[in-house]
Amino acid sequence: MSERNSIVAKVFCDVLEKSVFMFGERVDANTLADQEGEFALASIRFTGQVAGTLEIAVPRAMCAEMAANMLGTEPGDEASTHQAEDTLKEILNVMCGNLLTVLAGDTAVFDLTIPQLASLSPEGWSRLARDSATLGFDVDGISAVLLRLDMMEKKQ
Amino acid sequence: MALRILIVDDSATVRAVIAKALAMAGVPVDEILEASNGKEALDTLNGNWVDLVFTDINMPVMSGMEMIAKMAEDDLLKTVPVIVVSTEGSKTRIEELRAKGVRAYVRKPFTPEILRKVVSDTLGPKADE
Repeated sequence: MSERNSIVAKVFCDVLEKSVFMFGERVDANTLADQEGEFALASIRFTGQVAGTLEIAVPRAMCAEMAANMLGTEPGDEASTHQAEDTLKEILNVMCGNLLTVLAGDTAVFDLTIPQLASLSPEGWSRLARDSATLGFDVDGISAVLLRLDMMEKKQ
Repeated sequence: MALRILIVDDSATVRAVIAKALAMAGVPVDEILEASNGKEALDTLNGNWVDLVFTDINMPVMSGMEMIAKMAEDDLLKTVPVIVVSTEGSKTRIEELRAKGVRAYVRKPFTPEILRKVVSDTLGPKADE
């Protein structure tokens, strides 16, 4: 595991635990490739000392669960259902900010875009899982998460 | 004295979490007002007095930085304490915010205890009445 991937994994697991009280464990993303169901893909871009994109893909059902945990409600509640996608975008936003500070130092300034969210098909999920740059996570033993960081160093 | 607080964030989830964290922390709240961007916040402040503003930075339509700059230009609004709640960790940006008059900075994710402390540090005895 590269040092950068180790940092990404650690930051993700920390944010997941502190924000939505879920526990993630790093696994080989390829082992998560064959999944059924509906998925959500959130992405955020950043510019500054370095530029790039951070993406997170999760099963749709996990979004509602994360929202419920964050809000202290039940997954089927109207509030958690309505704010499920918003919660995933916020998790990505928090993770990106925390990650960039760790990677670039606490004096570096970055500008982040507003996170965007789109639906992801099982085929799209499989492609993402098989991408060599993608990190895979098992969350609470029941959900799968894919993370992908693309960074472009600024030329001096 | 119970506080009127304005929470500014484009995420409805975050607005709800901040409101809930304030309640869990025992901050005396009379009313929570919400806005999803800086412009909405300024419109809200135009007709409502608040004791404290929590704001994110990165928002559509009008960012938190722009909103804070606009508040600083107004004789009345510049007296309203602002606490930034953001994902950013840049010391450079935090210093920039403080130079614009921001009273405190809370990094996400946060706990109710952290919110309690910054409210107490910002408002003093008013936050404990």
